[in-house]
Amino acid sequence: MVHIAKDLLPGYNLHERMGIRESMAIPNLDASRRIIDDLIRDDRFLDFVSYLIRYEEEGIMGRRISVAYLRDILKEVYSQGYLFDKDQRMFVEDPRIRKTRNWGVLRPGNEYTICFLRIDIAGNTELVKNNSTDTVHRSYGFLREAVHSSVERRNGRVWMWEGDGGVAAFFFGNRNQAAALAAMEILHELFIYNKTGCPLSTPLSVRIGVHSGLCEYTEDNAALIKSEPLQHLVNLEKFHTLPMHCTISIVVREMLDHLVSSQFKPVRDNNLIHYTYRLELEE
Amino acid sequence: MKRLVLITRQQETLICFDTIRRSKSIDLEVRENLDWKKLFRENGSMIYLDMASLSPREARKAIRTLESQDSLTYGIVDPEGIIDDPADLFHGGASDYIGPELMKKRLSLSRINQAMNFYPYVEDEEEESGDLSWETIREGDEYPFYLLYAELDILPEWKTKSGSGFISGLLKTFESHLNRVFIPLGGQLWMKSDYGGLYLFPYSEGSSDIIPACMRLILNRVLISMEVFSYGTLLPYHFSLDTGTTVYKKKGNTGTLISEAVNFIFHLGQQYTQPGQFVISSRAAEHIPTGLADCFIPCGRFHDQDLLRMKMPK
Repeated sequence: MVHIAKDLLPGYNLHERMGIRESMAIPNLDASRRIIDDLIRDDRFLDFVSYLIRYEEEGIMGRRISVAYLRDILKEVYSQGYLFDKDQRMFVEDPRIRKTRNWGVLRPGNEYTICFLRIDIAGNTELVKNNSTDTVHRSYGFLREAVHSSVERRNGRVWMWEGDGGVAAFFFGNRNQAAALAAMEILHELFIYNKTGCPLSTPLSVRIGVHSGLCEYTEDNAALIKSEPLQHLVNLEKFHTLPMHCTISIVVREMLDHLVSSQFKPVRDNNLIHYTYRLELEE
Repeated sequence: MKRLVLITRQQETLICFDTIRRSKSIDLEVRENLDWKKLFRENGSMIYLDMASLSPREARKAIRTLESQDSLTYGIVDPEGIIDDPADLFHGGASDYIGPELMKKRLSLSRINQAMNFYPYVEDEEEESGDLSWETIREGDEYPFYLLYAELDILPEWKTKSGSGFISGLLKTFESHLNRVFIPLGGQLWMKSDYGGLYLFPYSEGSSDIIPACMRLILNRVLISMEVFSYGTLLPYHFSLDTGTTVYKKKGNTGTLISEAVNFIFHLGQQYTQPGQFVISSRAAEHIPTGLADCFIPCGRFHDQDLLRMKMPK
């Protein structure tokens, strides 16, 4: 347990925390109680249970170990609304129970590989100028709902929304594919909406970009938007995406299953190559 | 399964709903972001809104918004007792109020069921509507229906190389996905065929939601192939839609049924409609929502009926 605590809380010193000299032995029960208390206080208990699962499955230094009462511990964690994500090997919140911005696990200051989807309404200024406020609100409201629905169904989270567009994040599972499929679904929903329910004088049109990269997690959106992957994504969406298209970076494309990647056509732009998708029906 | 959405940021409220969360008869979803207005579109859900998650101004506004919804079933959770007059909530249309005293214990399932059945809005609406519904349809009588034939286009090599277990797995997934789409629209899988089946929907005037639903299934074929079937290959399926009258008999009791409409839709689905297509008879085409008509093109005649088919995605 001390090893785990040192891994999770760098510089952790049990003797110092308990106010006992290094030369004195600490009874196991007291030591474990103290470690658990410290981990809970620092909000690292779920990480601790993830370690226990790893030890149970892989052993420690070649030695198989059996963690007593692990099943009971897991049962209690699940009942609190968490699931164990086998790919990331960490606990994540059960999306049926709750949906928080950080999936209950990302910690500010830590770096994670995250796939971002950015969506922007094309010709926003014109739409606002040529339609009543109520009409614009209703249409933009539809888009916001469609984006939330497509993103959250794939366990993504909408991290920013500013009236005429926003940014969503995907972290678990095949995040690149989830983001690409969410983008395709949003375009399909808009296609039907524009033909059946859009009250605007011209169809509601969006540009979508998808890119993934290493990013320091923060709850400060202003800082987040300055991160390298999001800067790249803004550039991809703004300057390399046509209205009603979705453009994905080569990084994302490489991670897609063939069936999905084959829907995106390569586009060469100076020395860059992107892949783009748009819904087209036969003539 | 009944669906309940609890909007809260409070751990205490989650504990109070713990019994409901563990229930197998109610699907409880907890939302924290307070973006609850979009729930109005999700039919069949009951909403519990936790006042402790809102500022007093937000709480007043939220109650006004909830009261303005005609067909929404909702309850108010008030752990701090900020509502002065709980009875007034019921005058405004609330179905439940969970005050500070009740919050001290875990809510029972029967309490929530009572709240869900408290307000008879749905019954009122049905009485006013002239459209058919399954509640008014009696076995042995003849009614007009939408008839939708849906079938997986099984590739010959699947039969020879993959075996019956693979195909029956595909069919099961296909059926459950279609049920998820069509049951909320009033459909029921009435008769099964080897690789699909016939869905029956009570007839209603005007544009039909079945048509955009089928279009989405065609447009989202790649998404469905990846996320629902997860075999990594494009799964072809086709749909055929018609309207017609038939005597209604319960599912499984249709062996002696003689119906021209049923005969037509089976022939259209199994003999005429090509893999991947969505074909619609001219009778059913009258119900294409305005705006979607240009997504369909004529595709010949079958049994004296003009047909249209949806333009395929490139």
